[in-house]
Amino acid sequence: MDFRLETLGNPHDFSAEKTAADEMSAKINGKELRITVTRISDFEIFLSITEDGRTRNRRVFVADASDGKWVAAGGLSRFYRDLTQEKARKGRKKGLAEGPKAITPPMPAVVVRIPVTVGDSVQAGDPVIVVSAMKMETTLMASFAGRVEKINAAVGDKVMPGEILVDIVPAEETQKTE
Amino acid sequence: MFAKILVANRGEIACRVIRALKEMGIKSVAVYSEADAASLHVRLADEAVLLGPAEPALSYLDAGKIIAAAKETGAEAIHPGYGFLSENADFADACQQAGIVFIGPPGSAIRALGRKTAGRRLMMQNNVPVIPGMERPSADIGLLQKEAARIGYPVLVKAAAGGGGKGMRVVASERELPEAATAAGAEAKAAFGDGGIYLEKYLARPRHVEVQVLCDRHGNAIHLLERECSIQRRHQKIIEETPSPALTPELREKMGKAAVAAALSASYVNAGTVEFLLDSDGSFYFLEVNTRLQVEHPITELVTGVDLVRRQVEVAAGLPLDLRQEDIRGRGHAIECRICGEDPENNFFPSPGKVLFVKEPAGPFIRNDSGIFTGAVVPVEYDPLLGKLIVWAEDRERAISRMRRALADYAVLGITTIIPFLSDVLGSEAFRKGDTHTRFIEEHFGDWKQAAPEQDLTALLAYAADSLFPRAAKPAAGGGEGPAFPSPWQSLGGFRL
Repeated sequence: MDFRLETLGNPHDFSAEKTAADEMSAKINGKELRITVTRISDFEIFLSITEDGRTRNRRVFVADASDGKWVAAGGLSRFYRDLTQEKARKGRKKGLAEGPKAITPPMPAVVVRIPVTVGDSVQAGDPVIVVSAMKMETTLMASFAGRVEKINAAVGDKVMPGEILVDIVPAEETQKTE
Repeated sequence: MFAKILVANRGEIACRVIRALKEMGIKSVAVYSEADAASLHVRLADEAVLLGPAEPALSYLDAGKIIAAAKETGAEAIHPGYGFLSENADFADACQQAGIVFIGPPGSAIRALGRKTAGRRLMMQNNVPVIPGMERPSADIGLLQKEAARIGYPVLVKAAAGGGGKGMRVVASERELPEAATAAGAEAKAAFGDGGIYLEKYLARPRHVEVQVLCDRHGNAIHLLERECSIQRRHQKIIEETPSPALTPELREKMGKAAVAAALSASYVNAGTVEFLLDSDGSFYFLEVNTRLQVEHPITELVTGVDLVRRQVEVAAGLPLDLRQEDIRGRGHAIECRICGEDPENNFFPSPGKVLFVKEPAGPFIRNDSGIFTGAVVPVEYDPLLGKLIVWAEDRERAISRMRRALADYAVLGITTIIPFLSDVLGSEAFRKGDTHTRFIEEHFGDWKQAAPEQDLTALLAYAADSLFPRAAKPAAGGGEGPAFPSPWQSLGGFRL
């Protein structure tokens, strides 16, 4: 089975096959490894990893998420995204695809203030919407100069990362179209 | 002693208080919002009462509903925890009028000390040094600008009520003041139900050192040494320790006496904390009094051996303190790390969501004060504090090593936490040297990133193992993937390895 994972922006390609009831082999970073796998519970697994004739025992924790798995190993708990699922999902999270320029909350939040209205001209760095999560207010700012075309949220709305809260037409584009 | 107490809080602190009540043989009543129906404090308590919607103003800040819940369940006292109504004098008064004991100081003491500006005035009258700043809160931008000019930029905008850094902003110039004042006022209003703000001179690299006090109704007042809480992000503490590496025995005694004097000047009763800023030259300034139990109270408990929550309940029941100042001696060193659901690589943005799995560390001298569990949902409406990890050791160096070992054993899956960040802070040379101040994080860890780790290989193999060896409860289509007979690990179920 081929794995294509990503964590902290780094891709990881490798393969692993089940070789016995409690054993698997893996090819990873040009190394061949033999691993004894003992599942303790839904979340806990013991691994005995044999590499170059030396074996080390590790206790790891794994939980499934919709597009990957969370893994805790050696003191680090991280999310590993499954890139093989990525293609099938493309287009669903439009907001994230637009990158840092989109006005979208960094976490699930509640809209508390909207200092702009449709038609306003904004400069890069101007506050356009203020959201609150876990008692902390965060001001989302325009990342480029332009005109507020549409506001997709109202004060009190619960909003999620990826949802574009304010559409801003860049200044150059405004000039082109007008 | 009381037979039943209502705990007017949520999360780890509600659990902490409920556990103490169980140990004292006192029945506990939890209150909760709709967002917390399945939370741990509701499960631990003997009874639980739904207050209302998730919004704090309609649940945990609704004094009327909480007092009604106490009456309905026959609770004789209310423990407010920290945050929410814990420093609300009107709530303390309302409890008294309803014939319910408020486990904390009387409303009059909260008024005298709790509002930071009032506390400052009282300290000045009692010759405790204070930082230059405003003596009364104001929402008038014109007045704020005038005061800021008098104090001199940079200034700190602070909420007059509450604590915990909520509603606090550093303002470098007059231009930034109106927006900062509006935002700080709104944040304070949301967190404490009081939008009052004031300005204070901003000190560049002070240490935050606070002194725990404990007073009974019979005039006995003692302090329980200091806590150093300089490691902060967004003006909120994330690592606390005691003793402070900066204090000499003389300075400790001086600050302890000042703290007791501060408490006595307001006829204080119950547990409280006097916060100071300590400058590099050894001069200290009164900051504020937190008229409640602090988040970081466990480190004091570990070095002094005093159960502060039990003492709070005893004092509220009218019992005299059977501790004298000379009984309080610090032993060893304790450190607390706040396990926050935040992304340290992304400006400490909160990361609410579902905890898919959690495994807390164990071992000698390790304490977990936690409000989460596998399957818990961390709501967006409340503080990102998931729990606290506290360790004790014979000295500071060993405490740091123990904490880093414990953090490495802490697994939280499903939401991002600051655990790896905390470990790197503790491991840094500056922290090990004890060279801590309130701007430590900005100066040393401003653009922190997780190191590209060797652990990645193990994590990738874990991912593969989890994919290739499915969970027994959900065998792969076609079946037969689950183990046909129990492995030695499974048959040794009672063992912890």
